[in-house]
Amino acid sequence: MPPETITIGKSEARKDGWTKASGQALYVGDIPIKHVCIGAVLRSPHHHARILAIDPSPAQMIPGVVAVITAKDIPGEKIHGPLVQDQPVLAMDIVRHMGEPIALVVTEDKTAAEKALAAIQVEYEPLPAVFDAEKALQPGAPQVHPGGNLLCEYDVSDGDLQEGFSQAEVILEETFQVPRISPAYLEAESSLAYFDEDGTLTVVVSSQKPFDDRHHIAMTCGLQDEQVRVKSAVVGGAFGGKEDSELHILAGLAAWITKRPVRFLNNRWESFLAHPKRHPATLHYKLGAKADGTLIALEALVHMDTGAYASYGPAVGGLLTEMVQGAYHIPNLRVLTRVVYTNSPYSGAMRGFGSPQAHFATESMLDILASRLAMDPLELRRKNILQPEDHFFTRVQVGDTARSLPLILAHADQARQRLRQLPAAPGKQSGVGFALSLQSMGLGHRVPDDSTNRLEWSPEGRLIVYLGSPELGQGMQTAVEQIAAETLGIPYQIVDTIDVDSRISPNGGVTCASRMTYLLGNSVILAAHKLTEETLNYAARTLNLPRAKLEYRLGQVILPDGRQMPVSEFCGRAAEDGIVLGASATFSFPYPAERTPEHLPIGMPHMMHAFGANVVRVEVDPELGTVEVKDMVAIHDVGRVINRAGVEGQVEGGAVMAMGYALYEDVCLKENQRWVDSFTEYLIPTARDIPENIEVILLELPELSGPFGVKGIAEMGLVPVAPAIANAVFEAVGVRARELPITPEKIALSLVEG
Amino acid sequence: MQEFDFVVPKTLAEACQMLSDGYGRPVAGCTDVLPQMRHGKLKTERLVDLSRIKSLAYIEHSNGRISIGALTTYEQMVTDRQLHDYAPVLAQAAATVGCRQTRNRGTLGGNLGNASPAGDTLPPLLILNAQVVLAGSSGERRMAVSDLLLAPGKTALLPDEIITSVGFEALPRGMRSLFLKLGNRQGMAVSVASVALALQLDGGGPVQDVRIALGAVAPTAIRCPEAEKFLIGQQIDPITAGAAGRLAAQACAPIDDVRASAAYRRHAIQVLVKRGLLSLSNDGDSHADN
Repeated sequence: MPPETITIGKSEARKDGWTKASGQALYVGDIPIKHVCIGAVLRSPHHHARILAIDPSPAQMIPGVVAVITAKDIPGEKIHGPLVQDQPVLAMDIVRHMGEPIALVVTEDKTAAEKALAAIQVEYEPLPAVFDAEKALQPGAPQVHPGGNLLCEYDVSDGDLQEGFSQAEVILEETFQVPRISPAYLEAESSLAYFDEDGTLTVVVSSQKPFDDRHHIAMTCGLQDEQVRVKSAVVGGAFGGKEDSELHILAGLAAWITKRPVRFLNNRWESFLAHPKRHPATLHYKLGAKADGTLIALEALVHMDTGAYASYGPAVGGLLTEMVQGAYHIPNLRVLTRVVYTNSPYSGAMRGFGSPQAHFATESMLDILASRLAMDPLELRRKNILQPEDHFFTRVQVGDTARSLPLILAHADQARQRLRQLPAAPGKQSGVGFALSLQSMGLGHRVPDDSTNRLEWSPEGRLIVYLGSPELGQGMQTAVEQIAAETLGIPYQIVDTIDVDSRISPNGGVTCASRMTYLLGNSVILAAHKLTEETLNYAARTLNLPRAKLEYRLGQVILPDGRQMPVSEFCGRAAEDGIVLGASATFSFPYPAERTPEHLPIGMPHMMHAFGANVVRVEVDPELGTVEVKDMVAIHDVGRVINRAGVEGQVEGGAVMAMGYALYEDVCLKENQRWVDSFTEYLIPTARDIPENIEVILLELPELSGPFGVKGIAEMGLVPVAPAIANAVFEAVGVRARELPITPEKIALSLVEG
Repeated sequence: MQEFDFVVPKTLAEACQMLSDGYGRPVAGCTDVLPQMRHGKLKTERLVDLSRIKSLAYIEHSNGRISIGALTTYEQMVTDRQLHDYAPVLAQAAATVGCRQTRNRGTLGGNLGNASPAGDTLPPLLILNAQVVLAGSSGERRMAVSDLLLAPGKTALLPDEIITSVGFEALPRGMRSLFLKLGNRQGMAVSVASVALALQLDGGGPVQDVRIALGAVAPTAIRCPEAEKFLIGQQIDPITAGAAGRLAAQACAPIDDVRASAAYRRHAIQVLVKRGLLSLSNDGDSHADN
């Protein structure tokens, strides 16, 4: 049992809970600003076209129009991109996807904005377009960018594939397909730019990375980073989809040019077309095994459609490549991943970051193999799970985290037996399936991966946390506050977090990659130790005692005679002396030289991992093909629970999000050559679709380098769910889904066709 | 979204007058019209909001005849006891529309006026042989629902006409009814296919009367006379029910769209009709799950 704690492990109430539930929280769309202008974007109606001419003058004549802005008005850099500089702020000569921004209008009211957008004259020459990654690589395919359609390629291998397959007694080949999906957050992208009281261009962003946004805004406006201030608003969900700066650049640019406050709020269709999605991919697997089920060789060829611009595509491709291995020892393994430009809406970061795609294929493949060998899928996995002394095919040693796998399998087995006893509703067929999962933490080797945060005592003795990365709604602030409170031995209730404001906050980097509790927690623990030292130094000076005679314990300074003085007394005195008792600390994600392989491309490998599993019971209508997920058990090794309700929420939310991936969601091209771009056609799970009971089993095998033993959990809950559902459907009706989403139609028609 | 006038008449006469130039569109809950306008699929210069004409929201029963005001919401139909007694199939269908919020705003008149092939109250109204009452500047007229619905989004309404009520005979005693809906998810789904059925057996034996209507599988909701004719005098069993399902599948003219293919819709109709008939012949319970 973990030792007694003040707050760690408890379901402390989130401090933002009440304002959000009661509607008082200020999202970008709610922030009151006098005389704020409407910013709106003219977007491409074509998938691919040359722009022959843009005439903004008819729009400029409309009453209420403050400005119409095109690429030629941009004072600074006209191209941006988080990893690859390939994305025009506003299209110049070519549009490469439907929804691409061409011009901005800044107007005094919404009606003028709509009229102005309609009045801008753009002459297009439509060009042939391509929407499929494999087709885009064929000779003669339309070229999306001058350098060709192959954005990047990873070819990572370990062992000897030929030798592996020559030893195999059974070889399977399968092709899997996964769709483009939207993060579908409640709050679409939004940004508000204005000039603050001292005239600084200030942009309030709904974003995962305000400091990077600041850089891109400054570059576009021809300014230094310090000349732009960014602030984090309350964020209504992000899931990776708010790591792209596009709208914030447009807002900053519009305000900088017009010298007026301007607010941009994407419509839902704009969010669908012009912000990143999860990559659609085709995964071709060739798997070799011994007759007893021992995995011996795997060759995977993956094509990812990254759409018109790179966004985080190269990084997602890298992580997908690493995740193909899953939780298994496969001695001979090669993954070839191609990230390909097309004229689709661009794909980028989304919760799981390549892992859900890889896991759908790997975990389906394992069940297909089990079926071929007439083996229990769980026994097949037991035979092949990674051991602590094993290495991933990236040559990273798996380490102690693998000790969770036998426990996870045992829980999964129990859950499976229990769920198999539940009867199906009349006319339905029940099936239980499961899948294991692997998820990494952190950004990968040779990518800056650190976090700086600051702690201060307020004059009244409350602890103020200046986080350098934004809260997205996931509860990161709560976890960090609990870690700070535990470290300093003070109540959680007297810890406050200040939202990111570049004027006062340290730059803590992007909120992403299941790394925040680990990274921020470590940084805050370091800062807390420095703050304690600072406090005792001040106390020694004030009391005229040697520092060595004083101790700090549970918010009290302990004097040599054993008397205690609360820290708050010193905080007040310090404030009177004009001294702030505070400390900053930076923690960098560890990539220890002696253990980190150097032979891989930038961003590879990831060093820290956790494992989990999902067990589901579905009921399938054998005639209509409808699938209902009736029961779900999620088993995850989280290292250490900081806030139980928070972790359970992450796991449940991830599982429900993944149900949409498994069963409903697809941003696909319709027969009229338009994308699915609204929630009438793009279905996500409703309260009636999700199982009444999602049981969450949390294992706590500590990560020794983590704060209190923490591992990352933000993405893991999602990863095993889609293959678990596919495996359950197979058990229920014998239909193997090789393509997501698993729609009723696909099941019913394959049952009819036999 | 385009600019439009929003006018609020207090009486029916005023409403007809506001529509008389042909440039207006009557609305009540706006649950379909506003989304369509936002997506640019519908253009109109004037919305004539009928929702203040309170006299058009009622459900009345007299001498075996039910009359429902056009402004009656789905939720009112779901909770009305008379409807549960005399035309449960309509209450069942109303309960499957959208979510609670849309059921609180959306109206029966709107479902008819919108004329979506997937409108959930339309197949029940067809098997109830319902008639609509229309009011216009030149007076009142009546029309069968089957004559009102012409094509997706198209009705036989004249520009200045308003649907004021819907009337039908209560289902005969002993006639059981059922609505089955298939969507792509459990909650808030647009129908991929739907079926309304009413069945009367001759003393538990052969079929005395049967009515079948289909939704979302043709340009409008349709009745299935071939399947109905086939069933008269037959015992309902898996074979006859399956044959009726196949006749219904032949009667429909579905399209491929993003929700489902035509082939799947045909298949689903066959399954739903067969299942509905078996369910109605086996027990008196009406249940709406699919």
